[in-house]
Amino acid sequence: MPKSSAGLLSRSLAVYFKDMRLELRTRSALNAILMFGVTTLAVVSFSLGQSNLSPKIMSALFWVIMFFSAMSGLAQTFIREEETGTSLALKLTADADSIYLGKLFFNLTLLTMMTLIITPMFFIFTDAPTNNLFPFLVVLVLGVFGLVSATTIVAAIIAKASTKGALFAVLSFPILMVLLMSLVSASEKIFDNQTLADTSSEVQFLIAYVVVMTTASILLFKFVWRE
Amino acid sequence: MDGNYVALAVTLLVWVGLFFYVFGVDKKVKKLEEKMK
Amino acid sequence: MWWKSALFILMSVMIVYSFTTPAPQKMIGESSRIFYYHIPQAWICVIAFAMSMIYSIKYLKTKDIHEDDKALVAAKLGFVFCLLATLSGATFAKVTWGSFWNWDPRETSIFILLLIYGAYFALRGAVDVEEKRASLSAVYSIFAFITVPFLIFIVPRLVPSLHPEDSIIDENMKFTMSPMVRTIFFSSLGLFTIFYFWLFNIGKRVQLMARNQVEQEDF
Repeated sequence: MPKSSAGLLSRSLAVYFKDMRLELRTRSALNAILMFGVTTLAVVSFSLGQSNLSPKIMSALFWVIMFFSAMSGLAQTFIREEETGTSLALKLTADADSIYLGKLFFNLTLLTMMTLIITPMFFIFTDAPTNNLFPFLVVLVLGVFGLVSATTIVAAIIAKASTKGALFAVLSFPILMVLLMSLVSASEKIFDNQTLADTSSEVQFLIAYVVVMTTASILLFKFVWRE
Repeated sequence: MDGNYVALAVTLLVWVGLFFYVFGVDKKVKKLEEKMK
Repeated sequence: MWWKSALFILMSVMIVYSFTTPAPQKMIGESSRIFYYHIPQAWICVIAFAMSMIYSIKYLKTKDIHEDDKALVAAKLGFVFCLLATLSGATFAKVTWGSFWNWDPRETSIFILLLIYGAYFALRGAVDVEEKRASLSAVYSIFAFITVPFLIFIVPRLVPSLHPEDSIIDENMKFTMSPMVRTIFFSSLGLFTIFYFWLFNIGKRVQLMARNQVEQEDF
């Protein structure tokens, strides 16, 4: 495995900046993910009208929107490598670990940007309570990390498949279902004006999930990448 | 109690059918394995 | 083969006993007999899943395509038993709780397990090159299996359970079984396991033969 003298972090950042430059030039993934999120949000919002939503329904809707938006764009980065045939060059210039981390940071940036736009819109459209913002942000950050940590390797897998289609959502959903359940449960409590301490079991789970999924991905990624 | 005997008969029937089907497949596979050698 | 006849006779005897002895759980009544079949099915489902993952790890280590064949056979059998466990569970739920599906923690867990299997087969169908298919599906099955402990420990805390905690249906072995019930239950568990390994063995040989066939045609 070719390794430059630089540390793992700087090698990963090199991959990350390469992807960011490419993305800023075309904005293909960001546009897809953003428009998907806005569209879903609009559909949800106008079909519900001015009805008063319960905390349970609000948190469920929020994470449904987040899930499908994530599914629409997070596979782009690997698919692009395969389609333009640059994966071979990348294989020669960087090692698997730094590629994985670079892509992970990239997807994290992508989803964070989307979240920054979708979340305020969600609060405006659904009139969700804003007096409990800090705990919500904690859960939101953990949710973004969770979504990205579990789906980045799945994106790498489907980029290698010959028929991609809906495969990304199909493969990701069973893995994400536990995550989504605890995210919905945690944000339901928060919309219901409970404190962060009341959601401690969910928060602990979310942290454990992110750590386990990231570690497993790093261990397994080289087997996908070498194919 | 009658319902139990019906359930028992059905379950036994399923098991006997399944067993002999699998047994047959096993035999067929063995024959093919010997033929290929 | 003597053990096949033994399996046949013992399973038949177990079936007869399971329906003629008093029902294992007085409160639920006659329908609680399904427990002699439902739990072994769920058990095989987990065993098959674990075996599939172990063969996947072996494949990634050795790159021996036969390991991938075994992982596939185990996954197929696991899927069938998972489906059986779901069906028997839903039937039982209808009788005792009044509806086929309630999103009880165990129902949720088995549903996710079914989805993982489904996704695994979908992935295998989407990759043409054999070695690629083997590696990618191996990675996916290992990655998916990692979430199973979360399913067991987290889901029950998030969703209220209908599975009675200290009755005979509980899987934590906290139940109070009469010696008769215990004997029938554990024989059923053992016999189901033997039957599963027999099926696995046949599946493995069929897969191996198909592979040899292809190789012979190639030359």
